[in-house]
Amino acid sequence: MNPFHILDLTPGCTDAEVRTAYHRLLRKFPPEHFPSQFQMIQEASTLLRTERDRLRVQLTHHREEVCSPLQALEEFQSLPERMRPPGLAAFKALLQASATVARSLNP
Amino acid sequence: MNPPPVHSPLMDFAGDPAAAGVLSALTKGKWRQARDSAKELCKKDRARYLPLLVEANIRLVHDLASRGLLSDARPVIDYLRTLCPPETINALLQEIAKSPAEKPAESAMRAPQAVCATLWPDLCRIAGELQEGRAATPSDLRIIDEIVTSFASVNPSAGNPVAERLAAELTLVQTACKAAAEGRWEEMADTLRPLRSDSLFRHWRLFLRGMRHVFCGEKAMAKECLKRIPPGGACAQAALVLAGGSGRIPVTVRASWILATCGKDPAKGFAIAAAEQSWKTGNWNAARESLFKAFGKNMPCSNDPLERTLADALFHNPPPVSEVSDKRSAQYFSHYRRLCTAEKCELASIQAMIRNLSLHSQDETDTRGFAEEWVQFLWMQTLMHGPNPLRDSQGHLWLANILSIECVKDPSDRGSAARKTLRDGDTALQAFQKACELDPDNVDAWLGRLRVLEKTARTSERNELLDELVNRFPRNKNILAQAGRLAIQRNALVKGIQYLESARALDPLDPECTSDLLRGLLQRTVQMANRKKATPDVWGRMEPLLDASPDCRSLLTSRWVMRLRRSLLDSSAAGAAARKDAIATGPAPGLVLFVEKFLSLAHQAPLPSCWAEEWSAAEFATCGILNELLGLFDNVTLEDGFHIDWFLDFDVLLRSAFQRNSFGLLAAADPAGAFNIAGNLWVWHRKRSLPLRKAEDAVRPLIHKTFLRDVPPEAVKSSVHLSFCHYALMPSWQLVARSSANRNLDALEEIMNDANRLGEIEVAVKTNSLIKEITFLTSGMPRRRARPKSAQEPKPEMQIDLPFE
Repeated sequence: MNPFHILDLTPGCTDAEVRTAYHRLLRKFPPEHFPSQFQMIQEASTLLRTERDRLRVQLTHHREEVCSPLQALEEFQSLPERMRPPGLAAFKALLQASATVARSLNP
Repeated sequence: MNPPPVHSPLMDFAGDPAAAGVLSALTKGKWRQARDSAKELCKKDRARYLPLLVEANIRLVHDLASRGLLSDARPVIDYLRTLCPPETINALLQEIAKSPAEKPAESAMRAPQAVCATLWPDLCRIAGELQEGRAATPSDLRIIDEIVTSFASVNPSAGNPVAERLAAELTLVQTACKAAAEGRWEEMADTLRPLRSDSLFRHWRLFLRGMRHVFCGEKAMAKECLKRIPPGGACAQAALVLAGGSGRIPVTVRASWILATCGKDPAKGFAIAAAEQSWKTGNWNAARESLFKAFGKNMPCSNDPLERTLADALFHNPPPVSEVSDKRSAQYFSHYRRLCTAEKCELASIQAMIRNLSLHSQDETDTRGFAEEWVQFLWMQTLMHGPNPLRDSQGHLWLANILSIECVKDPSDRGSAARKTLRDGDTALQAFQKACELDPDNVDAWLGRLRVLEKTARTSERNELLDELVNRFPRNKNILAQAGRLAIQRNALVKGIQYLESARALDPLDPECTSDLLRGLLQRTVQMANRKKATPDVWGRMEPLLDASPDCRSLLTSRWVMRLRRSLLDSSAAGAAARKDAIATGPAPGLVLFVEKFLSLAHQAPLPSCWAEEWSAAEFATCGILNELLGLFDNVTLEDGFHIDWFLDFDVLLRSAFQRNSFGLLAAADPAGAFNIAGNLWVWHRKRSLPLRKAEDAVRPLIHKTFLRDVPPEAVKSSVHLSFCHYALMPSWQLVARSSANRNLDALEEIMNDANRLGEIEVAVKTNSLIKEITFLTSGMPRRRARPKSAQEPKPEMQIDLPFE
């Protein structure tokens, strides 16, 4: 996954911003409780440590596997700190669609 | 979406059998059928049934509008104008025009009040039945969840305690859902607290808890909660989506849900769903258009992470592997050609395509075309974002690294290390030079240039560059370490050691630097020993770099091994003392002596006179030491300078160690260890062509006997059995003479008979299956029956067919 997206940074960010993002995420995802997220954050911050590193990632980072738009979206959602409460409308939409599916399965 | 009315007019028809058909149609989302039935009822009693007719028409309008069929909705609205006051129509129009975010919801939504009115009596019935002890069925859960997800409140008739309790609990769950949707987790938990543990809605507590964990990133806990939700209802389906699965939820809803949870506009879920549909049918153009329509044409170079993620997926074009991907790829390239020749260039798209094409064609043989394409991409970066030498330097560095990968150019020369060349050394060197010019502080570019000069054997240029680099970067560990390695390679040991010591001073914890430095110092001692000069200072400089642990088996960094080296290379008293120290501080004496033998061969130094005597006295009492011996042998054979002729020497040593130990193994009742040895011996025999087949043959009956004896516990026995079958028996009958299969079958039959006699059914069954497997694999081969036991040569129980005499 794109390290910029993992740390929620833009390509023009500075060293200090990378450090700040790293520490912020580290506080939220300590390794003892969130080992996989921690590893992801650690690797991303290593890849973006200096300006040269960031430019290299910006130019050459690419995905290895094919994925459809929805899969890309799901992958994006799985990044640390990406999910936030959806609001009532979206939640109702999900629940009511689920009810429709349940009805079709158990008429 | 607006909150549902506190009291629905449809609740008044809950007990009316004449209205049941309309309510049922509304529940099923069959708006037109509901409208027609309501019309019939209105003909009988217009005043009573008009609300039903209005509700059915309103729902029909919502449904049509959500599907974008506004022209169809218009006549229905006109008809509604004849039934309702203008305020109702205005409210309806406003609802239709409200945020598109709610459209996915609308498409799946049915009249909440109708749902409640129809299902409420069923819910009361279910509550009664469950109280009497019946277990909840998926159908019950479906009804319960439908009432919750309708988000309609109910007003039960007074005096019915069950209905009143259900209504109160329903309100609790719905309020908690609203709090959860907005991330008010504490409030959600507080709201659910009064919910009884035997409530019909108790699985909603699990669902909402799971949702909280999902949003807090606690995946394991979320999974734990969500997997406990009973299947059948909406709750279970929604839990699938929360847990990252999909179930059968429509793509539009899933996409909108993900967008909403990522803080993006959920209305774009429609575009994603359309793109997904096109993608799956191989229509790349349509997928691109859907996404561009939603996110704009600058999406490929947008700074928004979500847009970049989607663009990365869209513009990623791997080699086609199916009909669909083939179609997608054809459209992709056709679009690329169109963009390249178009007058008005879509810079964002074309640079994204060139970038992806280059990144995925880095393995192609046309290196020149690939390099040109990449340079073109870098030029487009300058056009779009302005000049940036650091960025361009990184771009050229990446290109140079790809072109300087070592490869075998002629495929018929497989495995020939001598024919390995750089993919395109000249272009790579040019790219490295360009990267250095653009960013003179780019150490990786300088090191890459050095590597290409080294690989293309331009020694004088390389040495010049190395000196320049050491002057330019006197405090750079990588440069100093590389300079040290190369100096040692060309036998400039003093200079190399100096560089490596400087590099290690900058990073004392770097193990590679330490190893390189030790290697340099060791070479220096060998060099001086050849000149018959003592080097106590060099041995002294090695001391702080060594690993003092007796468990360390590295032939370079272990202190006891280095002491052995010193004893062989240094003929002074210090050398003799070093040997004593090695034996005292190293592992078992047998292992130390074994390594000493290797070192004497490697350094061409004679072994001490007492060595043979000490080796005869050394003990290899346990499987552990024997295994370590084999491990050390493996280390030794991997050492630089190991000569193939030395195999014979080590074979003699290994055999003698085994000879002295075989009885010990059996007496120690260590079947697992014995098995490991048998397996390892076979592996080494294959890998190194070591003539240890006899040793393997000696260990195998040992395992067999151990297996037959009832000494090991059942678990070990079983594990040994399986391992024995698969690793010790199978390979040998495949590899060695064909008659071995018969021999193994006899052995297995013996095991099976023994197991039957002892009543070990599991072992007997496993053995039987293996006999069948071997019989099947060797079908067609003549079966040689084993001679009857009485005719075999008598053997004492503990005697093993030793091959070592």
